[in-house]
Amino acid sequence: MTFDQFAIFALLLAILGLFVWGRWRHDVVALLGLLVASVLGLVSATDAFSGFGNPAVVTVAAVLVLSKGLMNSGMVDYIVRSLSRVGNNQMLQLASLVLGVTVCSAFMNNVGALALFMPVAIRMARKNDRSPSVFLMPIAFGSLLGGLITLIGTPPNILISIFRSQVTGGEPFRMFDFAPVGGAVALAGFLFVVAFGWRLIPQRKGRLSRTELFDIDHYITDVTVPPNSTLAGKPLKYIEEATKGDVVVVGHVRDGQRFPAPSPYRLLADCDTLIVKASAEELQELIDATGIDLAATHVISEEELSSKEITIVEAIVTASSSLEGRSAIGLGLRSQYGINLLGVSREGGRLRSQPGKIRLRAGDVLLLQGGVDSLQEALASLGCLPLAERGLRFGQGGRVALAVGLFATAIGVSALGILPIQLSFVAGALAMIMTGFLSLREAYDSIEGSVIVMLAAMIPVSAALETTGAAQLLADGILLVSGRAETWAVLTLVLVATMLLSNVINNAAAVLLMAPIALGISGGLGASADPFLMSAVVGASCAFMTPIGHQSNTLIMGPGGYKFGDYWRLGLPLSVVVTAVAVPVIIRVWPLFA
Amino acid sequence: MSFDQYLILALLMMALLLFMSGKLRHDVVSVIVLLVAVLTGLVDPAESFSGFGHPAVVTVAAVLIVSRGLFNSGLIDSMARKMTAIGESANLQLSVLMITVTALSGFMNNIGALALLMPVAIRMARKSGHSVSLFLMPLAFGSLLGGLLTQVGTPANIIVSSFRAQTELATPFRMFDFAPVGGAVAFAGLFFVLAIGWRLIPLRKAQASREEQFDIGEYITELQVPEGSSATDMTIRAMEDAVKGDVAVVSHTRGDQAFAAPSPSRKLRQGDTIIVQAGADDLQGLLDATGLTLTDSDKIQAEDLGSDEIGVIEATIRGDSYVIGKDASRLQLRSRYGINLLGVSRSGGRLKSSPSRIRLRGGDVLLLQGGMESMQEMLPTLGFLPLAERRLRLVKSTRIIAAVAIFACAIILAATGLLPIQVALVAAATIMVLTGFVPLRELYESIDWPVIVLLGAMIPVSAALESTGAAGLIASMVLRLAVRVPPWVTLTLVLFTTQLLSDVINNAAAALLMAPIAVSVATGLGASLDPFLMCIAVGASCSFLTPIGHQSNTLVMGPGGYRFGDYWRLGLPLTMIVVAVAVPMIMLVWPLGL
Repeated sequence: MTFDQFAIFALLLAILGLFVWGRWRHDVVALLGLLVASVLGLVSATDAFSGFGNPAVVTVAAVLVLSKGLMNSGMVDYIVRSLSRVGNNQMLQLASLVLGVTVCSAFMNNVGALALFMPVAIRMARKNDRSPSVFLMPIAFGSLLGGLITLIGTPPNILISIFRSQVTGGEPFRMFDFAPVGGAVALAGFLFVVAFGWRLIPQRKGRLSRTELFDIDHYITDVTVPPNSTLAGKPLKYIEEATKGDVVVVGHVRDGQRFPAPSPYRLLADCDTLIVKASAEELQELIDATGIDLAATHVISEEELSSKEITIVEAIVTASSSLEGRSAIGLGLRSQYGINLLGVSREGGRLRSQPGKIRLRAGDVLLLQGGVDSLQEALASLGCLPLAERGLRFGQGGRVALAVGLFATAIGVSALGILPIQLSFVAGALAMIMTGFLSLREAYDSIEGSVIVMLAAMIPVSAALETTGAAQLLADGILLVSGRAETWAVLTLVLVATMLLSNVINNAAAVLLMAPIALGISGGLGASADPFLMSAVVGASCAFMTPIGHQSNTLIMGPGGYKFGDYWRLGLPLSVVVTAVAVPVIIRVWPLFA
Repeated sequence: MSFDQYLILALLMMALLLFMSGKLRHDVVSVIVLLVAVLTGLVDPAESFSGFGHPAVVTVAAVLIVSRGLFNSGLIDSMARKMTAIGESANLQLSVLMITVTALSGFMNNIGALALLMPVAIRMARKSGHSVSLFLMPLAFGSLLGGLLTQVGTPANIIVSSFRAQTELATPFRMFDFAPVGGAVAFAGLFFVLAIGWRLIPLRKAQASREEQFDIGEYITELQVPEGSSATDMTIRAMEDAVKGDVAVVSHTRGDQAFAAPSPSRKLRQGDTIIVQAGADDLQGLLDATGLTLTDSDKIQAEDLGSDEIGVIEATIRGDSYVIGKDASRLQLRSRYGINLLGVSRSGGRLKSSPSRIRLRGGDVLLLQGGMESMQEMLPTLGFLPLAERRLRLVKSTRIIAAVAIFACAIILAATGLLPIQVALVAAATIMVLTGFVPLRELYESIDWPVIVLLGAMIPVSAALESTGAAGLIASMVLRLAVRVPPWVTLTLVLFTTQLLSDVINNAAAALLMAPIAVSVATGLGASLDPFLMCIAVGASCSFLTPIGHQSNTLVMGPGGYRFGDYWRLGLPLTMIVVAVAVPMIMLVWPLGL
């Protein structure tokens, strides 16, 4: 083993460790890895950042822009609307939801497709008094399966395709080269989940409505200003600041007139009633400090906390949200955005401590109060996904057709090999912008910087794995251990190894690490590279075992009320089904020995 | 002339026209140009996006992140605090401001340095009774001159530097290779502006106070709810909706309590006084519809519309803001952000139409009313730069030292050639993220994406200019003249052409287009390449003639009350000085070697 090989192994182990540890975000870890590699001389300094110009990276960015344009055109809203007509049969609802999300995510960003279908699924479940947990895990898995079907379905497909052309010197995979294997796997997965698998999902009962989920009356109390009190004439802020705790005035009632989410500078008058959010201890402290009276208790309903302009919504903290790892108070949710955080729910449970001080995690569901319009804006800039369905946008038929036409042209031009994929998709994205489907700002916003940087930084590291011969060394080791095993068994091993890897790290990173090794194995066996690359790519997309394996899985955790250990119950059998279908189909479509 | 040469020249002419027309933003134009170049075969499809991984582009992005880290450390705040204590003399104030901005922009992004000092300058001017216009243009020009000092001072230097690595010289310029020439030019420029030049700036009077700049009295009217008015018990929202036009209630007074920017759901009562913003027609409509009456109050001051927490501030529109070209009413500032637009000022003049009907332009100054904290949060996302000083932060000096040390290490590593500059700066940026100077959510926000896209797309086009021989063709035309004149004339010509080009297009793009031509000219003359490359670097940064030549110039236009034609009065003499100093210095420091 040369020094370079030793160094790259050590570096990759460190990167892997940091990815799994999760303390630093994946793009920062990848950049660190790249910097270390270039200082050690594993990657030449001039090539260090060549990943940013890699066709795969450009294509991933362009697909995100095109997806956004397609979404803005109202295309998906048509699909969503037709879904609401499927009736009340649970099986039928499940089948149409999973089918819809699978088809959409074959052509768009997986998480984006899921985010569109999730509110529909929740509404369907609540309407029929079912737990959303039956629907959400299947549609998250559906969004992963859908990604397998086309080249643009998910970043690993794009990466492996470019890898094929750059390393093996062949043509990149074409748009629908993934369809035979991916389609068979997706179909098998779909049938399994809809016919049988959903029974394996733990039914998280009792969280049907948000009143039950958040238990807001536990924290929300009426208090009144006693007559001739010194409080009269003081601003509401005074009440909130009277105790050290986290007391928020969420409603103000005077002469029977209600003001939800009042300005902290409104002045108190005798006999005003305030609706405050405070824990029992804080409430006692407040009463002691200000002499305010408890009002005759009644259960406060959500309606009292909203009006025509002020509303209450649930929203999920997404993995890319700026809220992650911070508390609402630390973020100034109230002072800077004018939003009150009424409650936080995690893994389907109510968090009992003061919501403002909870360190939020991706997948948490928040109950928020604020102005109708400003809330939408604030949620978007905070990276939270509202659970309520957005007002459906119905573009005029012509506009929808134009957007679909642009998208289809980009796909067609690259599928026919007229233009390389990166060019046809950048041109398509540009056309979407010029025809006004999305503004320049939306275009830049739709590109996820952290994913792009992670890919661009990992690509040279993955190439170094190849050029130092470390990948071959690893492949030889694997072949030595596997001895005289059948080729199909080695193929299965590659698939399962990638699958396991992508359950703990980002799936694109998993494919970047596994691709050179898979290539080495196929070389060692004297077999064709394609079936091994396909195995790696199928494995990378099938991260069903943990909520952290894929952003789609994280997203449904809060709304579905799932626990970490819930995922493998459906995920493990599904992984087995995927493997059982994928290996024979791969061998059939991509012969081992050409 | 070959077909390819003909083609690239035609394409570049088209690009120039599109850049100058300003109808499409420069990033869109450059992507279109790149796509056309690829489709016509001028750029190899496999290389089409290699520009995004180019060291220069990565360096530009990394400088922006590191600048943000320095800013976040509180370094600038501590400088600004010291600056306020220098007395009232206009000359002294101007000197301190200009020297500071020049020094800062030598190491950080030019516009960033300007944006930090502009509020300080405005406050100084108003406090001491000087015209704001006296300070701002020198400040903007200082930020351009400062960019000349180091390799990281401005993207054009980074471009020229890495262009050198691709020529026969094979190594990039180092960090301080720019200092001798750049330092001399910056010094001469500063000296000229401070000694003589400031007298040439048209003094736009009457912008001393905002009451004079924004004629808010014209649109702001005080109304009363008389007995029997149909507005009694109406909510403010309902009253605003009572007429079709734009009416916004900006203040509500009951008894002697005033509520600035009142909640739309407050109800009006008899005897209340409200201040509304409405054009004359809309106001008449409102009076007719609701029976409100005019009060006979004096002229309303902007201060009347603020309170403890509601502030009235001025902000200018940055050149890269997405609101440019949109009607103020389309932005829905009020419903989405809770901000009222009270007035718009352009080129120091009052815009007479109702503010919400104005199509906004870069450099416009807006008068805004809203919650102070939420405005702080929202203005940057809108691309507005508040002209009021931020609350200065008191930070531990160890934090400042740590940030400066990280930056200094990167500079030294790059200057000594231990690490290539892109690796050193990306490492510094990553460490800034890990040490918390740049929070993850600011990481990608701090990068000026349109410039990155512009450079990434134009780099292959610039390479095509060279590889097709078109650059040589232009150079041979220049050479026909150049062989008959002394070399300093040719150098001056190159410098001057670059200057003119960068007055109309982005300065980095100007450097990209001129560099291949200059290199061909040098080769044709048998001279060393370095003096010619230096000419490009100096010329690209010195765009003093128009407000559109550089974003710094655009930024001061509104706040300084300048007109388009004001820039050349100081800019032309300054350009002369720059040329007169730069050419001899370049020939001295970088011998022509003829």
